[in-house]
Amino acid sequence: MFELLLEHSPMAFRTGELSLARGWPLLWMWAAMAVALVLVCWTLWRQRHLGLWRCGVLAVLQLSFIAVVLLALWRPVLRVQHIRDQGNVVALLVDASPSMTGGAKPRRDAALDALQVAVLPAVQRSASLRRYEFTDHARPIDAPAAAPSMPVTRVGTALREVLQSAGSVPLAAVVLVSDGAENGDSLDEAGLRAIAAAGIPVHTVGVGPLAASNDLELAQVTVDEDAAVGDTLRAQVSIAHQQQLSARLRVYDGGQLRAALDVALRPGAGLTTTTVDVPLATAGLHDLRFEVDALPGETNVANNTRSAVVDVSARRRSVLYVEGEPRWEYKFIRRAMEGDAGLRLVSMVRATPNRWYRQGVGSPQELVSGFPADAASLFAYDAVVIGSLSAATLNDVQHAALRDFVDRRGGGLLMLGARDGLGDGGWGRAPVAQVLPAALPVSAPPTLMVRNVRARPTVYGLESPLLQLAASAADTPARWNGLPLLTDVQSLGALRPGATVLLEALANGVAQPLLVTQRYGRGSSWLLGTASTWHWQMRLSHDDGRHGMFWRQLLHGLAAGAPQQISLRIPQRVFDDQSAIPVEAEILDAQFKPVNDAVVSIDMAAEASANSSWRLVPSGRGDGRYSTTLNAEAPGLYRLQMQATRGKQVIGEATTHLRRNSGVREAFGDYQHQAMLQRIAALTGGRYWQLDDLADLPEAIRYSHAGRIEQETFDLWNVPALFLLLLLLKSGEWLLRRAWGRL
Amino acid sequence: MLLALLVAPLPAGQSPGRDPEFQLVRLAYTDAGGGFGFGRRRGGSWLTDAPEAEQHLLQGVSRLTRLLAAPDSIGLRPIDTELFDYPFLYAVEVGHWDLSDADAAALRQYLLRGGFLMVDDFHGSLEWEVFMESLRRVFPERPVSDIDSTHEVFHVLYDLDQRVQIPGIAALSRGVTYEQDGQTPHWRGVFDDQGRLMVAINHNMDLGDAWELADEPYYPQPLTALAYRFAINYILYAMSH
Repeated sequence: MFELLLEHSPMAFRTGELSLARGWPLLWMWAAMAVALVLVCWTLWRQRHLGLWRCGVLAVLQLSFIAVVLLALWRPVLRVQHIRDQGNVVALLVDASPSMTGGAKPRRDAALDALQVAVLPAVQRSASLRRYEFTDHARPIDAPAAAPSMPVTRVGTALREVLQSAGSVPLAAVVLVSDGAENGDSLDEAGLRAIAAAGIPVHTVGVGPLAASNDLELAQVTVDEDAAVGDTLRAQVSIAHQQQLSARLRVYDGGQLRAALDVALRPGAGLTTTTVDVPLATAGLHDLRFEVDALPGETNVANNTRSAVVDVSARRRSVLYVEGEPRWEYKFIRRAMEGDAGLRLVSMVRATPNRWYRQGVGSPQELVSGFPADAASLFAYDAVVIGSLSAATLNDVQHAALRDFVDRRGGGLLMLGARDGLGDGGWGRAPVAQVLPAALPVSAPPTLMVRNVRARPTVYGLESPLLQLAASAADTPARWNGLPLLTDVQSLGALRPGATVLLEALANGVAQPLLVTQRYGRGSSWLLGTASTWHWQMRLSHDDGRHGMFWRQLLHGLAAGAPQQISLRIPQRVFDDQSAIPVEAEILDAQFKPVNDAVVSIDMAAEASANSSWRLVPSGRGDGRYSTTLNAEAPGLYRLQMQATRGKQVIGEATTHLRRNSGVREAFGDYQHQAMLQRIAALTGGRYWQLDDLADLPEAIRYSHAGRIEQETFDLWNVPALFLLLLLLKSGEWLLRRAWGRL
Repeated sequence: MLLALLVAPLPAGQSPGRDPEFQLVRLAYTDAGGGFGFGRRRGGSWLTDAPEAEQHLLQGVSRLTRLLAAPDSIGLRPIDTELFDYPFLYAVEVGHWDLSDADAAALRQYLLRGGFLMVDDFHGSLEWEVFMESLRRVFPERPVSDIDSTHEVFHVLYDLDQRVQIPGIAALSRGVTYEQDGQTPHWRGVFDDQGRLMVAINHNMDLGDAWELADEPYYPQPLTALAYRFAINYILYAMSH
């Protein structure tokens, strides 16, 4: 009907441009309309006995008639661009990934059948058709079979490869047939921009159901990939689901069941995230497998499993805690940390003017002379806690080392409220003051005040894992609110711009910062403005545990961020269907200064293939950094052992593990990703099509703006719709006049 | 009124205060055999040697260590909630104490949470049995063990390898160092699950008299000095373990 009335297809109007071809000034048309308006009003004035609204209706009809006539006189035209017949190429890019080719009725075959009926013959009448298929790369369908490639779908990579052919042939459009289940990380923002920049319309044909059915999918598992002996690993697990109400989650460590959990799935949410705790009792590799039990009749069970690799270091992180006088806070912090397998609390308290009492030392000589005398001996620790210690206790070298401990070493420094702590200990004037998150008061009056205050986490505090006092984050505020009052609070001074307040001290409705932190240089600094957290232990039942939990989490957090002298980093520990493993190492000397002339090598021991050795080269991303890309073809576990040497001197070693899985990615996200397909089409000027509505696709390709195109101008003054409109306007007026009895 | 007397601070008009880091607390207990402590001295056995003993001791603590100690003690009953604000507790003449079930439950909580109890000045097998009768109510399941000479409590500050019996003035006046049948001094303790000393038991000795009589020429100065050292080690151990 559309084409009958307007003589051209809707696609022509959608892509074309309307204009007036007579060349007469538009002003004349407006002038003619003004004259017509006067004449119409004058004639209707003579018939004003009809009434105002009837005259108004007649005026509209008459003016509309005149306007259409004037429009026709000015010669309206439609200028369209379309591809030159048989002068262009159209690429058909078909997704041949396992999600498209598997099953009894492969999605690819259904799509090709539909295209063969509705699209391809019409396209081939006006253009040359080139057929491609892709998984991780595009290749012509009639080309010799390529070497087996990764079972990974890289829609973005395949599209870019096909679009590159526009440089040698007039490519008018690309028809992408896919379920959009991209799993090769090739459709990030940069990839999409590159596709759009080609200027070739990509018409996406969506295949497959819009959502999974009767399927549980372990969408994501997030864990800390490094831990210490005795830690409890808290894994965050996301389960994609439909109408199911619960799922059974199990965690295996090297084949042995370590945790099991019934997860209540949120109705209607589609994705439920939960946490599961896994104890890590032994040092070394922990090869974890997370698994949700299959549903009755569930066909895709490969997406019910995810892997995680955690390296548990036998090395305990070390925290040095220095007190200038015996304090109850000291006793109860030590008690909180006793038995902590992952952290060594080395402490020294000045019991008498002449005697430091040491606890937790690794050897009789450790700290025998008091506070570490130089940077190298201080840098052996991962974190430092300063209690009621006057700044005057340290000499200039020790002060400089303490500042560099945060800035260069990257350690965590925590300063506690105390009679001789913070501003009252003169730390506001010490070199370390510049790294602290607040400008400590330097005036004479004591800043430690005896006052009952309640410790309350801020919004940031509640988000911090360091301040979680309950199994679930939702219960944490109540657990904090139930703590006994602190009996003192110390002013921290003006906060620095980068400071984050995690705890506030609340008294009489007034809050002041209590626990504050900031990043500085490579490390972090922390201030805790109280000396009375020990009351939490003494005023609560002996099995309450909140005091111990607070201090363990705080000190672990303090030490956890401290980099090691030799570190080996990989983007993740589990590589699904990816053999290229980028690695980066950082090599520092005992003073934690970067080493640029080291020889860095990695021995890669594979579970299921031959061992190999790799040499790392300077990465160019900073001093002391080295990188390379390893190749892990065979699935299985790999052990990477790195050694850094300088001449004949061994600087240090680092070891890590990774797991290489094969045939995993395609099992996840096994449905049509419509939003991504629509976005590709919208960015490139194409359209998204559904398989059962492809009739207009050939026409859309014909009016493409890419390739070799032709421009045509079609007159519209003589289209049937125009004459029909004039006839309707006049006949309408005639009928109304007849009805009103005044012909 | 009797209870009020029990919990009253020793020197009238002094408040415990919180500015000093260390506050010595005397355990105000009920004497065995009935009554609320109208035993040997006015106020009860728990007040034996007060206030001179702790006043002398605490001056010594302040002089010899960097600990900021209150100059005097206060008295609290086991069931007083304030007790949990003072993690060091001194009980004297425990051969006469009689803890009720409520006292025992409170003291058990106090010790398990991290409090420390030092008991002193009781002698012989009879007083030991009285002492143990109440202690078993506190810890029915925990044994009392001898504290080894190598234990940290004897080396925190001073190396106290010398095991010299510190006598009370009553024994000294008779020309001996023991009372009743307590000829052998015992340093015993109750330990928590992590092996930390919770209760330090000085049996067959009287450190309190040694502190109290520090300014009396007839009490041997070396014994007073040793009694100070034991107390300082107990305090520093309690404040670090």
